Amino acid sequence: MPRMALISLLSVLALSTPSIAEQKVVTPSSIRGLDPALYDRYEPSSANTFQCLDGSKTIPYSAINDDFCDCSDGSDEPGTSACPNTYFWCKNEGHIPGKVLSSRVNDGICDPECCDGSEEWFTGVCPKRCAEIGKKFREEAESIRKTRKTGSKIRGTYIKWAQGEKKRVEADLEAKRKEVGDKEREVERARVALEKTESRSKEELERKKTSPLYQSLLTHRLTLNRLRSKTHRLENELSSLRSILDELTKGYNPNYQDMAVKAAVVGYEELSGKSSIPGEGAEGEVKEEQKEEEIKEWELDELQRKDLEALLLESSAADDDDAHDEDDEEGGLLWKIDEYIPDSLYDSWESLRDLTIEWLVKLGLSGKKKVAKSNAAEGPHVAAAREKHRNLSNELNKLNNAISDSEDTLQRMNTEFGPQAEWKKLDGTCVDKVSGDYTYEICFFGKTKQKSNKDGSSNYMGTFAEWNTAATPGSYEYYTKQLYNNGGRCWNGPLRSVQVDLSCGKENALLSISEPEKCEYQFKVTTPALCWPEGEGESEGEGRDVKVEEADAESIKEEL
Amino acid sequence: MRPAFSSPLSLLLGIAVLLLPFTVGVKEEDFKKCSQSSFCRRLRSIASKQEAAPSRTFSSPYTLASPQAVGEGSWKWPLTSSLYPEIQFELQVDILADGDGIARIRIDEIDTKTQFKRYNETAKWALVDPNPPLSSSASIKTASGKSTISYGPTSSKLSLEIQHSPLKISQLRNGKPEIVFNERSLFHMEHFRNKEVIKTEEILGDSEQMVLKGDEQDRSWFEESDVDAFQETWKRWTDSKPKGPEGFSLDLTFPGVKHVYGLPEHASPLSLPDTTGPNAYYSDPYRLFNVDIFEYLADSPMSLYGAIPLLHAHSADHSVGVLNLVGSDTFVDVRHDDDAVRTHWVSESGILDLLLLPGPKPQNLFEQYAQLTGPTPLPPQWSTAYHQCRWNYNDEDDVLTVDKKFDEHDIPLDVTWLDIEYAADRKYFEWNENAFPDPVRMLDAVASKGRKMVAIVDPHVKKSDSYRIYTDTRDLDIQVRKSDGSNYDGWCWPGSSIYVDFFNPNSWAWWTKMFDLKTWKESTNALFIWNDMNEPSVFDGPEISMPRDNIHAGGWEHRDVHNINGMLFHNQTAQALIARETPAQRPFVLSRSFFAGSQKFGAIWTGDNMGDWEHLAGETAMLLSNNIAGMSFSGADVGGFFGNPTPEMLVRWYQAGAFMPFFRAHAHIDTKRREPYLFDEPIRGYLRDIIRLRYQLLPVWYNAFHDASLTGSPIMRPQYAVFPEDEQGFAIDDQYYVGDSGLLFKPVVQEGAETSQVYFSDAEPYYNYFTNHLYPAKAHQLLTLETPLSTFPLLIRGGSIVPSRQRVRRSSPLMWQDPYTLTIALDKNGQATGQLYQDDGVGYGYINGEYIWRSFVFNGKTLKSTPKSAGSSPTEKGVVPYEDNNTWAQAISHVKIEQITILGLAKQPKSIRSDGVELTFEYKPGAASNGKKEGESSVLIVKNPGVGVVSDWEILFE
Repeated sequence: MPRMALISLLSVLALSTPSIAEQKVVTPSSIRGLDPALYDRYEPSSANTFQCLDGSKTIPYSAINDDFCDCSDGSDEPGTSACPNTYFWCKNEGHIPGKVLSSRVNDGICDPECCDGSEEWFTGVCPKRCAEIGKKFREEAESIRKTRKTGSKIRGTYIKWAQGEKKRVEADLEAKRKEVGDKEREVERARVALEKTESRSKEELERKKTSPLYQSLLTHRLTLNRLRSKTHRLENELSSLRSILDELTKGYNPNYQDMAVKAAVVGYEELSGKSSIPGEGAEGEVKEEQKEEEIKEWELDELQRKDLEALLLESSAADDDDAHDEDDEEGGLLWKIDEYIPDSLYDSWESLRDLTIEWLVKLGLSGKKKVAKSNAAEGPHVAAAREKHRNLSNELNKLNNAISDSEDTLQRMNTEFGPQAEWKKLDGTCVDKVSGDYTYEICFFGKTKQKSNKDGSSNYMGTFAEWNTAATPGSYEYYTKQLYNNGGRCWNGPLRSVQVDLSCGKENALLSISEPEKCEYQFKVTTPALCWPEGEGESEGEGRDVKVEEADAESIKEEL
Repeated sequence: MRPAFSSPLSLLLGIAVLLLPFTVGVKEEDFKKCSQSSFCRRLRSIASKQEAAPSRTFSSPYTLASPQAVGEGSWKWPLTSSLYPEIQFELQVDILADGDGIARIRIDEIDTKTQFKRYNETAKWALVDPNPPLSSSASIKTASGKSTISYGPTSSKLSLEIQHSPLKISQLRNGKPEIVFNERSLFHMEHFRNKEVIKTEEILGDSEQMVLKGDEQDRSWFEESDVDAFQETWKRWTDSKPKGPEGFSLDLTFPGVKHVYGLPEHASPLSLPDTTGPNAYYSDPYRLFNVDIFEYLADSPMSLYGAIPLLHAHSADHSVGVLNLVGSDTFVDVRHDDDAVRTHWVSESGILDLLLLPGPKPQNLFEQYAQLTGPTPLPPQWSTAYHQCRWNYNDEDDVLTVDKKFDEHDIPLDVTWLDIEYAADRKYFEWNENAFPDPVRMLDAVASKGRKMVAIVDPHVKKSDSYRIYTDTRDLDIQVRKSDGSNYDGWCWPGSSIYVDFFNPNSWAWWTKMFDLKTWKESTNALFIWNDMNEPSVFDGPEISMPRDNIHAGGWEHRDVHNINGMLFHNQTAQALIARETPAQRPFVLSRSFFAGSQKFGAIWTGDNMGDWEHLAGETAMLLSNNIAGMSFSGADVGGFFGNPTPEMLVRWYQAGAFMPFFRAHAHIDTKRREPYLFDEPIRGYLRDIIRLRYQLLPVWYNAFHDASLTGSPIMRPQYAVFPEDEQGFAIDDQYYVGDSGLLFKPVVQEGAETSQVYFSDAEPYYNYFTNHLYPAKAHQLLTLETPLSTFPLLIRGGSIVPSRQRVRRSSPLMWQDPYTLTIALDKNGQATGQLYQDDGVGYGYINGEYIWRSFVFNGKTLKSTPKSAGSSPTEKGVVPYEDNNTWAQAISHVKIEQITILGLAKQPKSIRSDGVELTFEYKPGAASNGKKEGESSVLIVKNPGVGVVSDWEILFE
């Protein structure tokens, strides 16, 4: 601040006008700093008085802008800094009018909101900059408008895509709903068949179960189970302790100056063979060990998976029927794999298997499905019936799941994916940005994560949870914020979460990342999905926000 | 209390259970109790042996020979102990020339046969003049084994009675003893000795102790065999103690008093409770040993970040003080007996260098202490405004957003702070370029609104060859060394670090250069400095500090200078900031560690407090204790450093903070953000109003700082200091006055408190600052005030004229030409006085008389503004009075008084005139200052009286 110049100027002013605020006020339009919208309330009364806008007091008209706060609402001093919490209105010729808080009047700072410098009428330090600022403002407004226009075109394509998608899903849904009825009946038939078969083979099984060998096996099996579950529990405990310790080692906060923590970290590193320089060899060893464990585990699995009842039945089946069919054996291999497919993969495996068998049958390499034999959990007939029932039930479940997925999608396309389902297009789209030592990634409606640029390790930062719940669902505001939460826990901190601030932009992009509180992140993201065309429910507020932000950036530049 | 984790596993389980650390507290076991410290164990036990000994059998082994004059106002006595007759000690007594008669007592071992020397440089660092001029009028008389020195101004009738055998020194006023040294015979100075000698003594040990030879003292009363005497191991650290035992013990008795104050910094009541004897409130002595303590207890004698070995003893009749110039680990026991308060001080090393402050009133003690250690200089005025800090504002955008948000919500702000994360790898001076790509751009943007920034620079230096600060310290050979002579490194924020030895004069010019704007190009003159961790804090060191056998310049051990260490760093940073601009601008440096004299270098704060009610309540007594010990410019982290205060608690914290001399909100990195604009109404409104109130009252604060700069008067004045004769106020430490403004403040520190009680000592009316409610004059009354969350007790004492500025700007420098309001609260006689000091707030022009200083007097009929000038205390010598036409006075010649408010007038004046002109005024009838009626006082408002702050004027009320 050019204080010396200011001081001499002020001294001159002080000498020439003993009181800084005396001015003849005759009409509202000559009241300094007064918003024209209020002119009619500032007409002088016949007694040449003014009533404070809150009605609290009547004062001489000459007390308006006399640099003394008479009215409790400050309405007598629109043009000075005498009253707190009021506004000074600037005409800003060449630009749009603006206003500043009374505390900014004559404080020696040129506020960008008053580019005509009128708020510094006493200090006189501010040049008129409205022509220049107005021009920039209009240019910026134009550029924002263009961005919005382009963005909204892209958004149009999203909407169109979503409409097609919606139709497709709806059609599909209808078809599937029809299919459900048929499938349900088939399942029911299979169930009845299965029950019948089962009751026949049950009797035989019960008889064999009484043998002492079988009983002893059962006891062994039980003991094995208990041992395994104990081992399993211990391993789980060990691994969660490991992960706690890993977290501690990685993220411990030396700020706590806690020697006990430090000792724990060092002790753990020694124990796990990790020195502070990450030793590759040590890592390898750990893996080796795990492999060994896995083999044992596999063997145990094998032992445990042996179906004793099936073995009983198998032996009786072998007694009953020696005729082994080579074709069956080959196809049977595929069936046998069933046993080793984890449950989670079973569905996809199942369809692959069925397809393969279908082809084998078609090529004449395998006989018709002889399910029962090799999938011999029970007698062959029972197994076949069970298999059939299971397959049908699975198909029904899949169908039901698909239906509820589709229903869910349609439901979400009502509000969650935007008023015109425009966000559906972005479901699963990911954007990322490098910031500091990390690359941040966000997948819309999915997950966000933070990946270290140094060692590639990554932290899960949360899953989409909600839009801006503070706003009315469906409003523009509603779509300007997203929360991703329940990410990985920070050492000594909360679960990571991300607040996403969205705005209109030509492309989907992650602009900036900040962490205002430990492990609570803030992303700024642009997307065409928020470029609502002008006039279409588009919030005035948004337009203004953009302008304000731009103007502020401008002011900082100016001040530099 | 934090559970003691016995293994890493249980630690983890503990964490899993607790999840957040905010419920846990200090790790007391990280810090030594007296019993864990070899010297304290030995020396403190002298007192228990004295107490256990049959009456009169315990006497001091120390005897003085006849005095020799050293020069004017200075005498020496050879001193010997019957414990070791061959060892020579010396007592020196000096009488200071200036002031009211300060006596200095020094004892040192002389002619030692060892190569060792006791540390004797504490005075060099703590005193303005380590060898102050001595009195030419003091005289000595020696007769019948007693030397008597008469001294001080004639009216003071001071004398020092020095009994030769056994040694005892009493300071008397009017023949009445007020301070007695060695009344309990606990004085003992451990002489330098060789380890071998001790061993033979140990062998002789027990049998020898059984027999008393003639009048020889029982040595075991004063010395017991101590396996730790030559090497002490505590936890995993071993102190090599090459000099062996070198501690000293002394007792000071204050006859006729019931209250002692001082010894900051402790989280304890202002009037220090007992640490020993039948009424012991604490079980350990008050400890003075600067430490980085994590989540300290809200009520404890444990040592904290700072140490001022100053004690005041006070009664309605008189006040005296002692300043014990020792920089080593010191423990002080206090016990109140019927006839006196008795204190016992034990220190690990150093000479005895004791200054006796004669009083006789608290205000004299403040001046006497300021005379010795220097007053608080005027800080930059903006530093008395609001500071916003957090660990951490992450990047440029974060800083500018905070800045902008304050403006959006019209909350004033002067200073935004950057904690350690601004620095790349905690290499202070080097910005993290990702987060702060252009620091100068950011600083300029902040400065464009009159604001400032503060960045942290800590005393540990990352050991990295690519860090110029480190390589400089290596090249200049200015690092603290280990006992083996190699450079010391310890663990702190940046990891492995070295510590600059600011005792080494070679570090000074270099450090100054580091802050030169040409050297530190990424800084500007809007950037100021925060010195944290200067106890020093060393994460892997004993008691989170450095080993005591580390070596500083001059070969002194760290144990000798530990408590002084932080002050030197603070000092050098302040000097560097003064030097970086021409003409020089006032520095602002916040330090965590402090010692006697630190007030000269900037502000301090009470460290890592917790965001709970208990700590909020405790801050007042801590800050009052700092204030009476000269360390006025102090404050506490508003909101509490640790934890997430509820909105209610945060409002109460801000109310308290707005009345601390240093007003800064700060928060730990793990806390939720709590900048005032983040809250919903009404909380945000409350916070805004409180901060704005601080800005409105900045003239009051500046007046108080100005007074402190002249006379050392505390800015926060406890009840006993304002009303030294009202015994009912002596223990009050939860309310205080702001300077001499007449503003009485009490923070509300209880959750859900709808009312608060305030005590008035004097028979003057008091006025509620917010409502003008008048409480009629009545001495010793305890009043209950309504204090819902929106308000708190703030009263104007009748007889005060309070200057304020009602127009609050974005930052305080922008208010420089805004008008003032004078609020006149009449006393029971319908009169009032006040003052206003103002200068440019940043430079040193005031030293040459560029300021205005007005006195306002209202006598019931006229209100006059006249120039004011400095008084006659030693620290006010050389204050240049101001001329009406000085540059600053001219610059603000247009600054006016916009409103005069008079509270408590008995009736409406007929007319009010200034310079023959009738002034506009409004009068609202109400309670009068001379009446007995309680209720809203009468209020007279004079509008735009047409007078300025610079010139003389007179307003007539008829």
